[in-house]
Amino acid sequence: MELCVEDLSFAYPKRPSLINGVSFSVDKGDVLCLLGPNGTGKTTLMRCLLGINKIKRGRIKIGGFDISNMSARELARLVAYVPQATTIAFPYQVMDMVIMGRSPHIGFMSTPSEVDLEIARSALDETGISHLQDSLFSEISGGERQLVLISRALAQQSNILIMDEPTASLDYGNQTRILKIIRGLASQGYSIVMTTHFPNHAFLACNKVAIMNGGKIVAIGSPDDIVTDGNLSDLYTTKIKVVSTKVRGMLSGEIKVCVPLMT
Amino acid sequence: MLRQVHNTGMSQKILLLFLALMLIFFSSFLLGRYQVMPDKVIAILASKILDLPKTWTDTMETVVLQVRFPRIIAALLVGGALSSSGAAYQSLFKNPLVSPAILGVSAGAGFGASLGMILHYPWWAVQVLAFLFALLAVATSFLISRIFGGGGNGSMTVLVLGGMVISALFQALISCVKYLADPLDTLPAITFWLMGGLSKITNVDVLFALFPIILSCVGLYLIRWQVNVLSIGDEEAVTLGINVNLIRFVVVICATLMTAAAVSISGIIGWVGLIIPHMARMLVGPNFALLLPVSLIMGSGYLLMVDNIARNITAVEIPLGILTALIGAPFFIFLLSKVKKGWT
Amino acid sequence: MFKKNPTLKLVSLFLILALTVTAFAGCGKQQLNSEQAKAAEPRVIVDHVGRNVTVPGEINKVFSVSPVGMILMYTLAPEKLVAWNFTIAPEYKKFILPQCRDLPDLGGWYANKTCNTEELLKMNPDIIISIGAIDQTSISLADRIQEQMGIPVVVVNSELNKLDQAYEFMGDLLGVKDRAGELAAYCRETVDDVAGKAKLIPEEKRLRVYYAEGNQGLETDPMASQHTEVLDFVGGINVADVPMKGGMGMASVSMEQVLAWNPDVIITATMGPMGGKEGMVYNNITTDPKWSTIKAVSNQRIYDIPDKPFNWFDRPPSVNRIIGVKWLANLLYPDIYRYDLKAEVKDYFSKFYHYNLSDQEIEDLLVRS
Repeated sequence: MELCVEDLSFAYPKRPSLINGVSFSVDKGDVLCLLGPNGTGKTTLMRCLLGINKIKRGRIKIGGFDISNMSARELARLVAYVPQATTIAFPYQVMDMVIMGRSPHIGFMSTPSEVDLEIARSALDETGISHLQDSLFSEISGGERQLVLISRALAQQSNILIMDEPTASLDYGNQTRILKIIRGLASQGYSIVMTTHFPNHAFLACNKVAIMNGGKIVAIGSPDDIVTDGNLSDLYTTKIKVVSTKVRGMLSGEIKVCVPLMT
Repeated sequence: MLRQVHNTGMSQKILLLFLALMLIFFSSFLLGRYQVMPDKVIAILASKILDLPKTWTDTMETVVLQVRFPRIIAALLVGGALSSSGAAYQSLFKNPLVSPAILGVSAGAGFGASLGMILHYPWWAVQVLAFLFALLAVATSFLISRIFGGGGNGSMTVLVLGGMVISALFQALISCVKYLADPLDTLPAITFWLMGGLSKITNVDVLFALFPIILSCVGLYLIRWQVNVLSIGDEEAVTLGINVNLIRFVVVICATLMTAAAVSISGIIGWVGLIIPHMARMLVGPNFALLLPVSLIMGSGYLLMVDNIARNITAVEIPLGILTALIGAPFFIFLLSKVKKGWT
Repeated sequence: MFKKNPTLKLVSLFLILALTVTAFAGCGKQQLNSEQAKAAEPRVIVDHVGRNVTVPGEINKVFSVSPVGMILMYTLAPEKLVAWNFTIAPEYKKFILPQCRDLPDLGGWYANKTCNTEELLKMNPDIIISIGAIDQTSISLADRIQEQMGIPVVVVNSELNKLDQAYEFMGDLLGVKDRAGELAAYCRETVDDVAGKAKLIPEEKRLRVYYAEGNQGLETDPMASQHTEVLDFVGGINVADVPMKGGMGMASVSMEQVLAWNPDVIITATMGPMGGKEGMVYNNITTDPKWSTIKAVSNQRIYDIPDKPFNWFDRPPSVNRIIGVKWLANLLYPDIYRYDLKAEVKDYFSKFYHYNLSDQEIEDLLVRS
């Protein structure tokens, strides 16, 4: 078992708990999709997995080792984070950003070596944005930024990727581009935990879906079992219909989409 | 970054900057109100290493070795310290508008020095008081952030606010001291100190500031990569394996130590710590591993040049703080118009 | 509203009562003042800048805007002083008359000082004097104080060679003509004598003097500034031939510049003429090796300016400059001026300060000088 969360609870000091007794596990090659309305604790859960929030109760194990005993550096070699593409204060170039992924492998008093540079280059190759390496991070498009951040996580060479709404505020083309990359990474053996507000993406890229509500996981399983009319309608308190349709020429034959009913 | 270090253009830039600094450094020895011929200056300097026949007067030797030498070194130290601590703070706070004074170091030093002057302490004690109060001010700001910040991103905001409050408090205390000061002689002395200047620098002062400044520079250089990663965001830095609290602490300690040492011998000199990191960033980009040495070189050279102006233009000195502000403010506007890479 | 809230009603009543009482009290004071005024009719005088000022016929309480006027006032009519505008250090107090030693310090309108106006109004001075170098600022300041306080403000010029006129003017104003005449005569004689002898100094014999101020002696005041009038007057050459600054003065110079000037004589200002470390600058200069190659230092021609009971040279540039002139004149050109300085100092102190110096005290005053 790659990532194993057992009975996890978290609360900020003197505040009601935001996460209550959450348990799940992610295997090698799994893509777990966290679905849930805003403010339900998805981000808090991810911060726990990344070691930013110190957990109150329960355990997070990676490869059998408890992360509460790890330093930030040790954890960063196991788990990489792909944040939402935001802005930064300084005019860093794309390569500057990507090579920062090498930080957990760089010694306390040194800077990246030629080897680190090579790794960063191949990470850029993998997401197909090598041509951007000298561009300014602040001047490329949102989709490209997301790819830069994924490249950075790849340069980190951690087996677990935590992605915070990787498809947020992207157009259709970029959304599918990112989802394809996610599927590709999973097939290479990465374990991925991602959040999203598009239940459709669960069908497109994930093999596991967890529904979070009120700090708890209310359902977990395969997309077909979990992403259902009933679950979604309860979750988002609006009527949602899951429809399947056949697409000619596609191997899998049938695809599913979720449609909100505006009645 | 590495790619840039190996890039010949980047290392050429640094080499050129360093050569320019050396040029300014040596030519500064030739400038001054007391006329010493260049050959004499060179002979006096060389006589420290070589055994040369004495062809100069005692006064010339005093001028070159006791007056110009400490002053030139002090300008290098102070300029370098202010701009590299400015660069470090800008990265730490992820804000290019931050100056070394952000945590109250200048106000603290100002209060310490004015206190020493109103008590008519000897000059060395005035400097020690300035240094101690500078450290005290920052320690208080830092403590406030620790007690009321609650960790995480909030504590950075509280740190800045704490710095503002402590600055304001010490400014008020300075006003208090100024009010109590003898208006006929102590007050002008305090006012002069607050305007900054290197006219009173001695070799002892240089020794006093040398150690903390070099130590802090080395400290910052050792964590240059971590500071770099920190500048894109604290939480991202954590996920990239950076011990954020430790690095933040080391940056504050080093930047404070070097600013306090600089300010305690020079008085309050503004703008250098704000502008030089900007210029350096325009030249080599935001990577702290490059930004730090380049800021250091450019800051040293800049302050040395400005001080050469201050000590040569008229018989009475123009306070350095006034000159740096007079040159700095318009230059900053010029920078704003030039910045294409932007601070998005 | 009142019916609903008895507390508010009570408070309002109290306020009204308080206001009424104050108003009556104010009236009472007014009446008192007018009764006093009957003793002598108010008159209109013209001060040194041509302002018409209406002053009471008899003036018994005087306050000064700045220390210069305060010191002149003290030497002329200490009994009419209502308060100081600076603090006198304990070790200087013995030169001050017992009845004046413990008058409060109310601050004033100079440098960074502000006056405690209400406290001053309580003392109700008849006039306020503004004595010192005259410029547009000091004139408009006088007008402003007069308007704010409702007390006549009189402006008097106290340049070194006009001190006699200042005393005579003040003597007329305060009704102490005899004493003013005596002090004015002393000032006039000193000024005339020194001015006459100064002309005799051959140009090539004039000494170049550096006035060392500030903590390190690296602050100075340039030629023709009101702070170095004494030096210019006795025929010394101020090495600092630079543009002057107004107001509080003091300009920073570098060690190198002083070395380049290479003065024949250095005079040092004791930090804090109203209480500080004695001889600080003097000791600094005589012990620092950097200064040692300067002509003045190697020839041991460095002197600390006497500062009791107030500075003799500057800061504040007061009437003590009269004895300062004799001191510096004799110091620089003893062959020309030929004063018996100790006797002169003794005479000056008894005339101006009603204080008989012992020989030991004279020694102490002139140590390092």
